[in-house]
Amino acid sequence: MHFSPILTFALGVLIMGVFAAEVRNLVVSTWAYLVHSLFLACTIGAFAVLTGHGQLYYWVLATVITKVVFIPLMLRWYVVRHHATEVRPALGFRLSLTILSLVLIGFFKLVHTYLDFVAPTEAATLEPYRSSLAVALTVFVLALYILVTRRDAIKNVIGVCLLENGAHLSLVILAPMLPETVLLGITSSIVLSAGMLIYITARVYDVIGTVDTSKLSRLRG
Amino acid sequence: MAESFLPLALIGVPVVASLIIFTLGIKWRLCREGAAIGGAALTAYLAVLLARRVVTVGPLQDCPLDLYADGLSALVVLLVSIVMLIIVGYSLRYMQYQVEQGLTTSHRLVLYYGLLMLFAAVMMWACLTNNMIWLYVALEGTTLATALLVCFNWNNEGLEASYKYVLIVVTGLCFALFGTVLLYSAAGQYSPGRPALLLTELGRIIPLIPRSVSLLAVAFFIVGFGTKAGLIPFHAWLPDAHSEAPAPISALLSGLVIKVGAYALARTVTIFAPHYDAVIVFVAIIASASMIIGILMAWAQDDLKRLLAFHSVSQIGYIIEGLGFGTYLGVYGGLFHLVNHTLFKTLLFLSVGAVMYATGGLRRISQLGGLGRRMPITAFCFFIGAIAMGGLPPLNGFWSKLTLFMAGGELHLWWAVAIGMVVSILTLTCMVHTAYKVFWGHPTTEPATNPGIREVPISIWLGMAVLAVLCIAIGVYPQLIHPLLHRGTESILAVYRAGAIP
Repeated sequence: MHFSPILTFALGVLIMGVFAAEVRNLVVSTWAYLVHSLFLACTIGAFAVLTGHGQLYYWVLATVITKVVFIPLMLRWYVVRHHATEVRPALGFRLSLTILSLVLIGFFKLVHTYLDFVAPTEAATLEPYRSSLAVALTVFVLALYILVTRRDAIKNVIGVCLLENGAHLSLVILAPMLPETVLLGITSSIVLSAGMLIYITARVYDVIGTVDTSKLSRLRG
Repeated sequence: MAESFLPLALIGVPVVASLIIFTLGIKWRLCREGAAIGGAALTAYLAVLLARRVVTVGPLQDCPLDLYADGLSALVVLLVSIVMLIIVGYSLRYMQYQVEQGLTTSHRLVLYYGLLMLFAAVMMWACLTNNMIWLYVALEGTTLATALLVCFNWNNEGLEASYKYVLIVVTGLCFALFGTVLLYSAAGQYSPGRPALLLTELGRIIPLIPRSVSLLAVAFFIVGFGTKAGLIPFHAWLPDAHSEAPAPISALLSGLVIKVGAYALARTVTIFAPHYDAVIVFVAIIASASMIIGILMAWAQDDLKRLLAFHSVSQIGYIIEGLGFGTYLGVYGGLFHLVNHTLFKTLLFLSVGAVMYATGGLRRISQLGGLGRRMPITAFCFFIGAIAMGGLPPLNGFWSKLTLFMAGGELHLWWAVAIGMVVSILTLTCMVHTAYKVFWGHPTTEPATNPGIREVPISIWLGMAVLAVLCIAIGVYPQLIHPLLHRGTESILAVYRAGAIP
């Protein structure tokens, strides 16, 4: 079972993602996102060791710089300057956690079982790729769940960051051969879009005075 | 040899212009407005050179940095650069007026023109790259470059619209990235040693990869690039962003930003369409839904800019439907409509901007009326745009819609043709009704009857007049643009045919 560290880290990615999604205190949520990204970097590192693709070490470095340092720093800047408690979401804590857990477990099972239909290569259907890919897709679904159920603008931004991490993980699993220039392009576009969203959310809070998306409805109709 | 640097120059010129604006623009006006108009004009000149080269000789390959220019790239690059030049020219007076009104400061114009040029650069890059992952990065870049332009006035609505815009489009593009990764991975085993998945290789690879993976990738592309293009049901950002941005930026969003989504779909989904009938029907269904819902929502609007925004949702349906057909006629019609829609929708948004300029910011149809006598040029331009969008001969919109209907007929998708025709008639009635109320009806509210309202200065209407003349010229003499459209269509079909050879 030489690949078990990968699965442990991947599980960490998923669990910390859920934690970042569900916790109401945004400071804690930011920390959870940081740990989640750290697990992501560890997963990629473990893949690098396992597969021997030298490029993956650059991915680890890029992940640490952008997702463990930059994005949490920007989130922290926002949370400290603006508001630290999430706007009450549509669902209560327990109900939301229950639904989310059921959705994620169900989805993970589904993807893990039927991965052969959508796996682009033969190798992707074998362990540890199979489980990791299922985790990546599950993180994707987790992020979509946040985007659908949360009313707090900054929580939605965390959702987008998780979405990008899901895509990022799948990228590493499926296309480890990507050249460094492409890596630079993708990571900088991810950091810039997260930074732009955090900046705009901060301006929304300053100018409008609320980040409750259910109240930000002047434009509807 | 020098020609192979043409794509690089097309990206480089606006980048340099934006650097000049950001560094020196705050001190000298010449380095702000001057650099913007100069950069846009030089880009347009280079785009004409590129288009001439591609039409007379053929695709430009082996450029540095995976750049590549075929007929489709040349067509979109030319269109983007010309519209960009018109928008920058229009902005000179319009944004100065905003400064005079106290809506913004002249220092902030540095940001405005700098981002505009940066946007031009990423737009060029998106159209000239041959690498799928760079296409995604460039698309993300167009979103980021326009995000701060949407909320340029820092008011409540603008900020909200901008937040929605970035959130939704970034989320959508994540799906596109996922699709790209799937395809990249699947293709990896068939092109060993190649570090990149090239758009021109796609046709060769598609028949080799499993059906389920192909269809999943197509679904991701439709969600991802469809969000960028403003297709129903991923359009939620579009009406808000279009209506709250300053008028030249609305024109930019509707004329160019959503087109880059359509361009990306043409580069990806269109190549899949001939292999999978399901893709054609699925795209036709989603495009028809876009047409119908867009036009119904447009009828319900009182705000002129929101009305035009919903028309964009409706019209993008025609473009995507044509591109989804994947046949010569379909792609030709889709690209033709893409060009025409850019021309008349930019024209319409700029005309609404002119109305707002003249009336001090009025844009509700119920508040306006009788402007035709006092603003004859604007009225003429708006009317040309309106009937061009409605598809009335002999204007340009008629020919592209006709081509699309013929393409639908060729594939026996009669229901799609019928929907297209009905929506076209509804569009025409809606637009003529709107033009009548704004320019000929009787003004009901006090501000609209203000005797001080008069025609906008030439620096504003000149760009509109050029667009109106282009709409008429292409309508009367469609051969004007045929060589480029033909090359563009051929370049997509060539990619597809590469996969047909065993």
